[in-house]
Amino acid sequence: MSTALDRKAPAGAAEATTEDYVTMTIGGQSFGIPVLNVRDVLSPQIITRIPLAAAEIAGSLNLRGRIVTAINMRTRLGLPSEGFVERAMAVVVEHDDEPFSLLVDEVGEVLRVPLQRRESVPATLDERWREVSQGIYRLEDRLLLVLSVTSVLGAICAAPVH
Amino acid sequence: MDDLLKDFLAETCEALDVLDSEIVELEQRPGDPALLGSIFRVMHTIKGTCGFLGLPRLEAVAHAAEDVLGRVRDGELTISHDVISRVLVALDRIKELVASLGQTGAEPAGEDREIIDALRRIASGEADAPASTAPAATDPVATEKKGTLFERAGAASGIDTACELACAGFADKSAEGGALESELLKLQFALAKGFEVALQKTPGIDVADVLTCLADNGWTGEDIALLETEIGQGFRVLGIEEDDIAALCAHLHRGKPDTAPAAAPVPVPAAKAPEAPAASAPAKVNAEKPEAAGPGQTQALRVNINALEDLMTLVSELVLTRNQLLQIMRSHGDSPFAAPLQRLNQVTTELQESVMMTRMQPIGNAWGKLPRLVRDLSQEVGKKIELAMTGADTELDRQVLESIRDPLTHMVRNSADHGIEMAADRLAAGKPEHGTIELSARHEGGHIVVVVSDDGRGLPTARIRDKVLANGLATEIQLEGMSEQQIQQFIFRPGFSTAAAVTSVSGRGVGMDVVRNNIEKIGGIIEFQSTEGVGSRFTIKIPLTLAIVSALIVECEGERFALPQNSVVELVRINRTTSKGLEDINGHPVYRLRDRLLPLVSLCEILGLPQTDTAVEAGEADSMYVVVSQVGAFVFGIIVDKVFDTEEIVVKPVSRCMRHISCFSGTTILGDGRVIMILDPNGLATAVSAAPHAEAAALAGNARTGSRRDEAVSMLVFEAHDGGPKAVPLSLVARLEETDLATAEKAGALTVLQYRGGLMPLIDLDGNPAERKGKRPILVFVDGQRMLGLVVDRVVDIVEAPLDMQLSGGGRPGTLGSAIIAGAATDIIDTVHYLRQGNADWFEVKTESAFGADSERNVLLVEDSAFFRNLLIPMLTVAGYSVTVAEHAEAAISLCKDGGPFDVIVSDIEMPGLSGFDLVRKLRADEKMSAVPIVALSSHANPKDIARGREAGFTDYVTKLDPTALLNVLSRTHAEESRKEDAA
Amino acid sequence: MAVDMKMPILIVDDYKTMLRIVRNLLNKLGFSDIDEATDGTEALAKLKSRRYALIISDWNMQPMTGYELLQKVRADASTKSLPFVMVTAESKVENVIAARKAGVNNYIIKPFSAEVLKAKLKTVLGDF
Repeated sequence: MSTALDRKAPAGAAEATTEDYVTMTIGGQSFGIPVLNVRDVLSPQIITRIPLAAAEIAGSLNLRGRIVTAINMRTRLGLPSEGFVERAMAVVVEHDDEPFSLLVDEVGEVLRVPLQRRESVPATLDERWREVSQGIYRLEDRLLLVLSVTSVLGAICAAPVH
Repeated sequence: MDDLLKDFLAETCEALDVLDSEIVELEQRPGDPALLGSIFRVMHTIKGTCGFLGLPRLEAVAHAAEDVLGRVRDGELTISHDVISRVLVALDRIKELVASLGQTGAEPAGEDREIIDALRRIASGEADAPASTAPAATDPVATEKKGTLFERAGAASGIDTACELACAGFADKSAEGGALESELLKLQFALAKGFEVALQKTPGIDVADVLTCLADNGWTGEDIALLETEIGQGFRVLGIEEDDIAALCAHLHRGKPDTAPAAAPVPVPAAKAPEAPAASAPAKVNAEKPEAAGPGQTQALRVNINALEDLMTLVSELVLTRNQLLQIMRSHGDSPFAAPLQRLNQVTTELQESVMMTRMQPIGNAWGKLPRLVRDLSQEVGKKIELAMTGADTELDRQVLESIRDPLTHMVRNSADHGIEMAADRLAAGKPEHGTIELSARHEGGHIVVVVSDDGRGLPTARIRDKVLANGLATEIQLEGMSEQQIQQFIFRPGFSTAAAVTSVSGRGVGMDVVRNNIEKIGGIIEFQSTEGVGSRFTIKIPLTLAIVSALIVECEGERFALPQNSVVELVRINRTTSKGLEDINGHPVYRLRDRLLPLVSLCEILGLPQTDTAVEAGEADSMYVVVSQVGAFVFGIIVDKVFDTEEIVVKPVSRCMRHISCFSGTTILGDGRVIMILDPNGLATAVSAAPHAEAAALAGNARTGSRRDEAVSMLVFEAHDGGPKAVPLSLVARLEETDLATAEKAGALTVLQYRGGLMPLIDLDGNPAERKGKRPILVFVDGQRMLGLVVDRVVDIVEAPLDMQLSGGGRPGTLGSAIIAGAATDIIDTVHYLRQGNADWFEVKTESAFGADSERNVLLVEDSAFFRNLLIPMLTVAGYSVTVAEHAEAAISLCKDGGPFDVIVSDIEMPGLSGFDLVRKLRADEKMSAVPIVALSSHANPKDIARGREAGFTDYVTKLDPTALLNVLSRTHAEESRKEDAA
Repeated sequence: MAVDMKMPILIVDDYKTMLRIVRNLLNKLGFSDIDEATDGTEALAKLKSRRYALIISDWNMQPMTGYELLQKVRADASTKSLPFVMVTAESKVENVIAARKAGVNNYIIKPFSAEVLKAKLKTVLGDF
């Protein structure tokens, strides 16, 4: 069901100056997560809903015997998410030694970009987006927002919705 | 840090861990050679190794402690409080040093002189006088050179070797040498010891004395001179520097003949001293041999905890896979895989059990530090406390063990600090001077029961009251009606501490609420009982293991959940259309299960699942289930849509981001690979009581868990015209109706309602005929054909409340008194009073039919619950009985002997001390009492109970909550008695 | 008698730290072939599987003490005359005499320096 991510960037080339990102789209926007932060990418999974959990928590899924909490990234970013969870791709990351899967629309290629081209997030960006973005790259055809796993999950774990 | 030191620390820490309790144990069992040997060995080994590692502080402290223990072992010193205290102090210092070594890799700078001196004084048998003013044994050269002269001489080992070499050289060269052979070793020892005494300035015979002694025994000056030379040579061989050798040899000549007491008992070697102390040696050596040594010893292997945890995880996965396979199997019917799968199933189960076994540890491991703790505390607070422990070998899962370690410590602390009185106070109270804290553990089903009790002053209720008031946990009025026990339960409230001043012992910011939380977190329950002046007792019931539990899989709105089996009491299937047994009281669903009313929660509602009609559409609408669950003494029902099998599930922790949801205790993967949440019965129970009176229900919950027996009764709380809450035991209420009173009729002075084919009188709380207007709730009381409706303003709630509530005899007609129910002072209404108001003939009819009004019958009522006494006494009195009350069985027995005679005895079953069964057996054994009718009163009367009651000798058996049944039984009993008398 | 620095030596102690210490000291003296045993039973098994030239054992061990090990070693014909040095942390004359009677070649008090070990071994093995 899952495709282990073996597309590590070719070794060698000036590692300090570039960064590899797993790219993904959420509601039409491109996002990237540093490739080293990504543990796995999964096709749509059976996800168990968790009553009373925060809205962003789509539920739990079974990843080879490990229980992984699924985060609905559309909800996290304030986007509509009807029927989304069932067909979403899952990007597995770790936060505080706990596995989470970020549910996104699509997972794209691994992209290598020069670090010096990274810009800070424009202040005009929606507050919810700014909160989870670490930077932005202006690619030829689109903008790539760098997603901070810590920021995405930190808020959910720290401030439980009662 | 170098590997050698690391190894040393690991080995030492392990040895030190057990030492605390062993030393304290030694105080209790001073004569146990194995125990002493074990302690001695640890000190000995530490001392021995430190020398190599260059850890002088550690070595010196361990050495001094070892000396003390060695003298004890050799019978030269008796174990006393002082000895133990000093050794413990040394142990603490050793631990500090080891801890510091672990952190920095080096011994910290510091002084141990005081500790060592104290140990030396103890070892030499001196009373533990204040620290001697004598300066430390230092050497003038020591400041310039490294270490003392003793150390530079190679310490005990070097000196011994030098002396050995000297003696060997002497034997070779002296004419006397050959004859001395068998004594050489003793000479060597005497010299070595003598050097040690001289250099270390310890008490004893120094080397100069030894030489003097030799001379006294006839040694020639030449021989002595030769020996001296050889000693110098011996040191030289060992590479000792020349100036040090000179200093060492100087000690040989420091003559001080007057202080040498000729040393008769000292094994001074001399050819002319034929009695060799060797005679006693074999015995000593044998004594050292541990008794356990032998081929029958169990082989143990040390396994890393992580390896064990990994193994457990793997087994968990295996269990899951097995479940999965079994699930597939079920849907496939016959298959060639069936047999091997069955075998796999079995092996998996066995493997699981075996691995669980490896995780089992004796609970004593969690107690290890307690003897020391209690000992220290007793000194700190100046009390005399003994700690008695039983069942330390009771085993439980290490994870569970870890979770109860702190709560247990806290409770023991509490007992020592608050519970046990000062010795003088105890003596004044007629108690033994020593207070006792008892710690016990035992298996009970799939649980472990741990009891921490003390024979101290108990919980001073007055102080709790003050604190409760001061902290605003309850109002004066609320406290007014509470029993002592109810008030005591406030100790489990957050932020509560009974200590008037925060002591260094217990006042550490951890309250009993934390203890309770910790226990409940692992699915355990804690109950508290206390009697002022007698003592306190905490009873903890915890599951044996947490990792794999048996769970019932339930479904709600298509979502599945696991409910741990150990909290499930029974399952009830309910027909949705008829909803038999389901009642709704002011929006709170309840279920009447046999004789009790269960509060219900809908899992869907608690979990906020959207209620759809899918179940109805699917044609499964006809039934639903109530899972009757129990948390502590609190029984409630959980409504679910469907119930599946029971499965063994592997409990995994809930993700951090969901840990705040109290309804879940964990998560797991089912056989089909699906993730499901494990429900937390504690959390659900809270949700039940959280409804309108959260505060109150929590209080009631506390009272429940603290209740001496598991008896709690459902009280129907209502409001009538004066607004204050009133309550009546729900079981006395036949039905609840809501009627427009305009439909009631007037019949003479009464207001009556046509009801179920009869006329039911309606009265209000004042006993007056009800006003005929408005839609009002009516409590219906029924007795045979008779009915009475009590019109009230509003039914508030149904609350579980403990039976033994304090009723402070209200004095107002119609009120038995008031009690705190749901956090508010509530009048308990006297149903008998109202029944009489509505039906003047209600009881008269009965009494007439039972026996003539003139024949007043003597009833002995044995009942420990004030509530029931207050309920039954007026009723029996009204019914024409003369009631004598005994609050416990012992009182009943003496009343039967001295008082009476009684025509009938009515006794409770569950009582503290002698039970009702015990009572009836004792009474039946007495010829005089053998024929008296004895009726059992019990809160639960199932057929088994009744059979047991009859067997024990009860004439009849009645449910407590059905007073009219009691009256019927009493009159029937009387009728039978009369018949017998007539026949006679 | 020349001492063979390659002679096989068995050291016995239930305290691993001590084993390492004794091994280090022996290495320092030039001995190179050193086997270890962590209790008496293991030591006896090793003695059966190999011929050693020297055994250095701790006195204070459990469950089998060094003294008991010594007795067993002496009771076995094949090891009856194996040089046996006992390590002890206390110099109790009775113990040493008992050990001597049971056939110990020498004893050594902990802690000891390489020089002391050397001196003691010399009394057992001869000069080296």
